[in-house]
Amino acid sequence: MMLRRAVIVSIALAIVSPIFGLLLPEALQSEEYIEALADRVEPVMVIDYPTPLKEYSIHGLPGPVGYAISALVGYGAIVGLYYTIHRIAFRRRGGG
Amino acid sequence: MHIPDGLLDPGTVVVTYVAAVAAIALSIARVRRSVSEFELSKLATVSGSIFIAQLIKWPIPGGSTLHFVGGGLAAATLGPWGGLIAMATVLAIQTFVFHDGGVTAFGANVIAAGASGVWLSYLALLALRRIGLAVPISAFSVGYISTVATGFAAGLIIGVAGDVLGSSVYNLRITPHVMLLTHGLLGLLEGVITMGIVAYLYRKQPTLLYEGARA
Repeated sequence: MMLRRAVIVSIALAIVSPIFGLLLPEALQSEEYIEALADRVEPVMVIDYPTPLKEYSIHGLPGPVGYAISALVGYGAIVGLYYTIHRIAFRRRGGG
Repeated sequence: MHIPDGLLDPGTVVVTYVAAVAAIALSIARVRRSVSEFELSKLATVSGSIFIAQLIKWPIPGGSTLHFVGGGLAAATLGPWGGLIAMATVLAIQTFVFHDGGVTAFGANVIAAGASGVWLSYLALLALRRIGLAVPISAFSVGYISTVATGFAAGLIIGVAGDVLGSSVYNLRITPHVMLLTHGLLGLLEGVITMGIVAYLYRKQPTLLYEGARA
């Protein structure tokens, strides 16, 4: 019951996350120290590869929509990963 | 708070990757021995919740942004081994799916947030509960310690890399201090959130807390 409540709260937070994760930092021109530092220096080793969800954005969608969808995709990926582990681990245990 | 690509030298990348893979492997081996269906559900829920919570940021006008890190919460609900796995899971999804945090810095980020943030906060939690400090105060302290430890560890790793590279912009004389200062502030927010969640769980469903936290 409590775990289900946590899932509901997480999904609700994912939907409102663009306000705090994207719009407010943009409006207030805030940037984390490490990100600002990385922008200032000559990069040493950079591994770049194509990902459709780079920096929580989706090409062709408005930033906040892409951010919220990315949040839900990430949450789903984590829960899905553990669900898969659960299925494998406990099917094996159940089967002896 | 993730270390991005471009800051770490190859030697630091290799050392932190080896240490992180060893820490993750050891944690998985420890958790596998006794994991139940309930524990696995808890691991999924805590990992997912920390991922979402890290997307909620609190901007400081014209300056930095703060966000929940989650090491203290992971330690209080999952213990040190499970907590490290949860943080590594969140970091892996952030890094390899969203490119948030450098691929070369994944090991460093696991060491900072998992090995340092989770483990130090877990040890602090045990000590604070043992001396009889109330759950809310212990939880606040643990949230605070986890964030400061994570930030300081990240600052140290970046500082070492900067020294190796001969950087005047980031090195051991600058980054650990800056990270300690900014995370000293962020730690207050982390402490309040951790305190709220842990105190609520302790009251409503203490089985969701790790044995050291509810003792």
